[in-house]
Amino acid sequence: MEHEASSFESSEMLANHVASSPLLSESWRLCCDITTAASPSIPGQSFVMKQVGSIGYVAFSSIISEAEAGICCCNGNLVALDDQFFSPLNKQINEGEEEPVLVHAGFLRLFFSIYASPSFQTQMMEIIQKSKSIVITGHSVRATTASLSTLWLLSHLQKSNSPSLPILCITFGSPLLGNASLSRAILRERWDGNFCHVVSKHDIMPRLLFVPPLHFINQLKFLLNFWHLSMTSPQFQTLATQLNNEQKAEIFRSVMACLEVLAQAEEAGSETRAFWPFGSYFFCSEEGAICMENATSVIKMMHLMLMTGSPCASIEDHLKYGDYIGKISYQFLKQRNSVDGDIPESCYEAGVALALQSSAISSQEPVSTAAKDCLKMARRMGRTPNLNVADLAIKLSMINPYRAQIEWYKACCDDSDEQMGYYDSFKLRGVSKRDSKVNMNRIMLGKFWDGVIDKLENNDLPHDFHRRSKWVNASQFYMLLVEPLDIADYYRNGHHRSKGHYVKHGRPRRYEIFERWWKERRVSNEENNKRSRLASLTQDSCFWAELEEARECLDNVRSERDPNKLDLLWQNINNFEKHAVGLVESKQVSKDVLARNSSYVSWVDDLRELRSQLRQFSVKVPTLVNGKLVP
Amino acid sequence: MIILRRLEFQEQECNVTNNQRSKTGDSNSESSTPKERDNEYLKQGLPAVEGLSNEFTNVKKAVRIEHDTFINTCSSLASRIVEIRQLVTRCASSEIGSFLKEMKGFLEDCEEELKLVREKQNRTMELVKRTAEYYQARGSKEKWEHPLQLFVIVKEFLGMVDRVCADIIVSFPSQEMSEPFSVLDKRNRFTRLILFYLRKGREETRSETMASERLGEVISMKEEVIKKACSIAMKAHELPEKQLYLVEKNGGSSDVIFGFPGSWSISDWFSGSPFGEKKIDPHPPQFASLRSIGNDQVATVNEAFLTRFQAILPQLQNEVGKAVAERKQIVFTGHSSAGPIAVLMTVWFLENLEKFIKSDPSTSRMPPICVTFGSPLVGDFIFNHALRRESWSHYFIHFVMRYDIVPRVLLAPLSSLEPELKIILHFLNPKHTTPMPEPTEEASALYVTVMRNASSVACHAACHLMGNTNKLSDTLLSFVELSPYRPFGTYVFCTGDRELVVVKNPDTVLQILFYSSQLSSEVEGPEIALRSVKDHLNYQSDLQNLETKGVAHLDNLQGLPLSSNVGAAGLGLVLNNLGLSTRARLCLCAAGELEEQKWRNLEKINKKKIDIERGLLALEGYKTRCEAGRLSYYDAFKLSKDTDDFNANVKRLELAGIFDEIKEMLKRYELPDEFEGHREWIDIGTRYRRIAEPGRPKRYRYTQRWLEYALKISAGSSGESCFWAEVEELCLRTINMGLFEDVKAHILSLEKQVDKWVQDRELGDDIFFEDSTFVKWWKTLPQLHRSGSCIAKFINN
Repeated sequence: MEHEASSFESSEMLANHVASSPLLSESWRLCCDITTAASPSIPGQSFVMKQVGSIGYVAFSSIISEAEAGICCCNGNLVALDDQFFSPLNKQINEGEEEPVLVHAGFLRLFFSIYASPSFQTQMMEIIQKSKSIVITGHSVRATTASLSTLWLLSHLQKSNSPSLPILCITFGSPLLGNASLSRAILRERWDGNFCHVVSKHDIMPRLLFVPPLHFINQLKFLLNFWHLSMTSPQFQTLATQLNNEQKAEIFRSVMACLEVLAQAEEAGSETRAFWPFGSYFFCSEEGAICMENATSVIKMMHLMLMTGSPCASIEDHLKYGDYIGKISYQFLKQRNSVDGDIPESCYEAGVALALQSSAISSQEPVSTAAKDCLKMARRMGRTPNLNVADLAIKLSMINPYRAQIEWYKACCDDSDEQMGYYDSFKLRGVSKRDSKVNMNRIMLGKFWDGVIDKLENNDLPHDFHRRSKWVNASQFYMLLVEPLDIADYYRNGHHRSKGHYVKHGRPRRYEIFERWWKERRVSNEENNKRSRLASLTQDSCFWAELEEARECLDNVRSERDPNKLDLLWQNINNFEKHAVGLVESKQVSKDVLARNSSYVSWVDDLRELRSQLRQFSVKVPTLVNGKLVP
Repeated sequence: MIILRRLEFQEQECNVTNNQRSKTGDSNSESSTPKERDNEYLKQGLPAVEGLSNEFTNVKKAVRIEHDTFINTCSSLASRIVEIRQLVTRCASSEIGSFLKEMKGFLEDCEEELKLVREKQNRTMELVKRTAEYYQARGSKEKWEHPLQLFVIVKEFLGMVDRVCADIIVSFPSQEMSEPFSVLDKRNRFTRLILFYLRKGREETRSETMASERLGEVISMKEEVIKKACSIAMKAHELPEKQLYLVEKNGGSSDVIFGFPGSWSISDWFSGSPFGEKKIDPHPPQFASLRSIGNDQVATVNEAFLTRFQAILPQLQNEVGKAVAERKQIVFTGHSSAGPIAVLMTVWFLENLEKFIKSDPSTSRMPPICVTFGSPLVGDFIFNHALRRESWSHYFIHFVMRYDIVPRVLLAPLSSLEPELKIILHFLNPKHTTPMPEPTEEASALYVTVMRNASSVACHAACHLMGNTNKLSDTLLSFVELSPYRPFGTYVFCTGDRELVVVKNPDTVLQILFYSSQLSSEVEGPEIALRSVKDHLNYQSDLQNLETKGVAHLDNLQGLPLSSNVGAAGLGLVLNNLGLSTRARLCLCAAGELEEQKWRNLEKINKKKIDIERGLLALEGYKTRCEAGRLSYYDAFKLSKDTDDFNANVKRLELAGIFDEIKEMLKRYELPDEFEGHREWIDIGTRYRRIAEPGRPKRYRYTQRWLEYALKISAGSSGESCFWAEVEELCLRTINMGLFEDVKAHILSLEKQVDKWVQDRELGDDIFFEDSTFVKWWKTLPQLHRSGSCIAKFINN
């Protein structure tokens, strides 16, 4: 079938692309510089910012003070992210259904201890101003600070609407940071391309947190201590053996056991409280590197690679990034052939064989078959977006006639003698074939667009999908045309009484997303023309829902006695009136809003009537009303 | 086989027409020389043969059918129906409803249909089997696995025929004027080529075909010309400062060779921006063809080379004109930084060929040839895209030594290599006479820098070729700027041994440029680095025994031997000699696959042509009906009252969907580069644009640009379908502002345009109907204006 068209394994090619850039070696050099220069007691010195060419580098020291190490070890629980700093990540999609975004408490505190230092923020702003692009990097525990700083910076830039500044986070041997929701949120914000986690073949650190927290706090402390001593005073490395072989073996065993369970469980959903990888992983060995982004495959690969290692190697590997990077960044010079001699015939199999060789898993080893499957799975996941979008385009053209029928329905209602507009006609619809057909179309279209969003959020569509004008325009047009029908249906069935009003409680999520797409699109000048006639579709798709709310207010005004509440109601009514009049004056509403029998027109009439009543009333009893209620 | 017989038949047909011509006493054909007649013969024969593959599109489709699935479809469908039936009977006992009734009806329909399908399937299989048997009896002894394999074989054959045709087209014009080929010779060549490909297809042995070809045949150029060009290119370097080119015209020879001197100062290589690149200025339109039409992107070239070209051009123009008048084959050549000058000269010449012919009809239509040796890259991928669209790509032949650093040097930014390059260029300068120590260190530094950047470019391209979707790859682009330059034309790589490797696919060339100069072990680093510099001067000596060199095509990239075993033979050996590792070969395969994919995409949208045609017919019918009701088509659309209107609207949406798909593909360059040159698509696009323009999304601009480009007219002038947009806008302005005088100029120009459009029959009469928006609006204009208007005559009638 054509649907599995790509017959190439490209994880290695991407890794080569990363490796031939100077970014890895430059980042590592800065990490080493700050590590040797920094004194762990002063937090202000645990980072360095430097500009190389047009790229601004922010590097964090690998060394943390003992107190900080304690914080990390003892706060292994997961906590929510601060809304003030990471607001985009906290935008939950299905509130309640999904676990909130959580990160490691200790690492978060570590980040804030640096963030709190004033020099960090001023220097950060300075380097953002000066550089064309930013690399944020860190090694070991501080790598999580790099990740969190990146997340913070991305959130900050999104909030301040500044022109897009490319940001790349490169971590070396970073422990896991957050849960699966974090990973999903990053995907949703399309930030996953901004993270490159370098993980050496056997390094235990990135795998450590797959073990449930509180499992071995003490051993963790020892480990951190051991690494620090080795980094700060390599000459005493032989002395720094507080960790005996048995402990090492135990850590290794438990990590392995947990990884095994995870790797076996195909689905992500089974263990929700667990840490979960995000971004791209750059697995390196002395033979080369491969780069993958699918979280499930990443976990499997972590497991398989660790299986080829030993307890000792798994701990020492954490300190060997310098060697790996040095080797890999000169690999482009050399021809690299297969060492095995016989290469599979098919391009794909050959590519897989080479990728395995680069990850230093030889074909003799028992894990090689599993590793092959893992690469294949990652490819399948990566390949689908383009095919999916092609499929969707075809589906869209098939679904378009449904939309056209609704358009036609609207036109008929506009022209009919009842003069109700299609919103009210639909709300009061009978059982005629036409009405049920329109309802059917509405549901079909809704299903289609929900499917689109599902696919987008599962990362099954290209990452620039929501910027492609075809889709932005199609979704916007759909929203303007069909959302009034959805609103009509909502109020017709009385959902507002049980669930609350549409805008706050009943609006399908797809519309919010489409609205965001529409706002984020690039607007060219020609679209800013003033309208000379009524729009073909009301430009505020929630207009009718707002009207329903205003109508309820109007109904309540008559019976409300509490002056404060009354005040609020009037305020709502006036706000809506202003908004609606504004829309009508700028001709942003369609004909149906102003139809003789539309609910907007009747609402306006009611309002006028009520006001005149009140005026008469206030003339009679001026002191009571205080003139306040009558605008 | 039938196809062969068809071929014969078509040849006969051509002969017959030729004969008829001469019989009827057509003066032209009587006086025509045998050679011209032969050309005629080829001209007529070729489209017919090419048409073959179009006629057999169904065969190509059939190849994709999975035999077993095809056979089993019916039975699996039948079993599904049985299941549904069971379900229905089970439901029937419990409830009664319209669902059941519906379902039963549906089931009956299904069974009926299935019966028909099964009958048809049987009949088809019978036919296929019989056909297959027919060929098996006379063909090979081996039995095919299943009858559908017949289609596979036919498809392969068609592929070969296509290739032969392409080759003939390539060789046809350039040999047009060369004496040695007689009629007989040419005809023999044609048959020989077909036989040759047939044999190739049957035996599938690459090594044999490799040895049997010579470079001259592959790139359809005589070896002596190449050698002469090489010597002139080198000689040109020694010209005195003021002389900007060298001409070699031998009285008896049919070629005129123009050679250009290179420059060894770094400012003539890089200027300004990181890679010294510059977008071609579309005004005034020198190099008007160097752009992507629908996307409206202009090509980027190296600014320094462009400047030098512009300095040389005025001096050269006359000389070239003279050579054209003498009906000579023109060859532009250059070594090193003179290569780009030769390239730009050739593009200039190709763009002006029509002009030369117009000024003097007796001049030859012979396209030029461009041969470069160790030339740096010149333009970006749009440059390549444009040359391929114009089918000019094969006029450019680039020779590159395996390790030569110069063709790769522009893949790195100036800032990374300026000091080293200065010294290396000084070393390479042939005018520089005082002996200089070998720049070992600089060569190493330069080699590493260039290779690092080449690796970035090649890996990024390979990620794209292999369909990698990781966003990291895009993120990297904003950190490490990649060179915009890409190869184009035909590359001939000299392995240094006895082979030449000919590559036409630009993606493949890019990969080879990087991978072929990798080291096989660290120790040879310094040596290779030095060689990468020295090889730049070795072209003449390497090409001395051109005739004896073996030639390998790297065109069919599928099934490339992936393993780089020491004992490899044939193509494997050549790839080994070029230093292409398994990884490199995978990249080559990916490049081939992408090219294939582009053609598959084209095939897919070609299939939609029928749908488009049908949709256009429907809309055109609708338009006529509207006109019968004296309501302009466009206005009827806006009102959308009847079912007919509704259906037209749906048709319009369907068409828009198809054209959107094409537009998206073009935007991402997922169609063959030649697509935008296809006359047929330009016509369809124009028809579509004229009929379906209310509003004005981008897809119309694409088709409009195709037409404007094809007719070589200035942008915006074929905007007859923007007519309505224009009218709408003017309506707005007259209503909003009320002042006629403000928009008077605009209205006058529109009226003038309308007059022209109507006379050119680009606008229909429907716009002048009583109820049309245009007429309604026009009647609101002041009487004074109306009476003097140039379109009053249409409206008052």
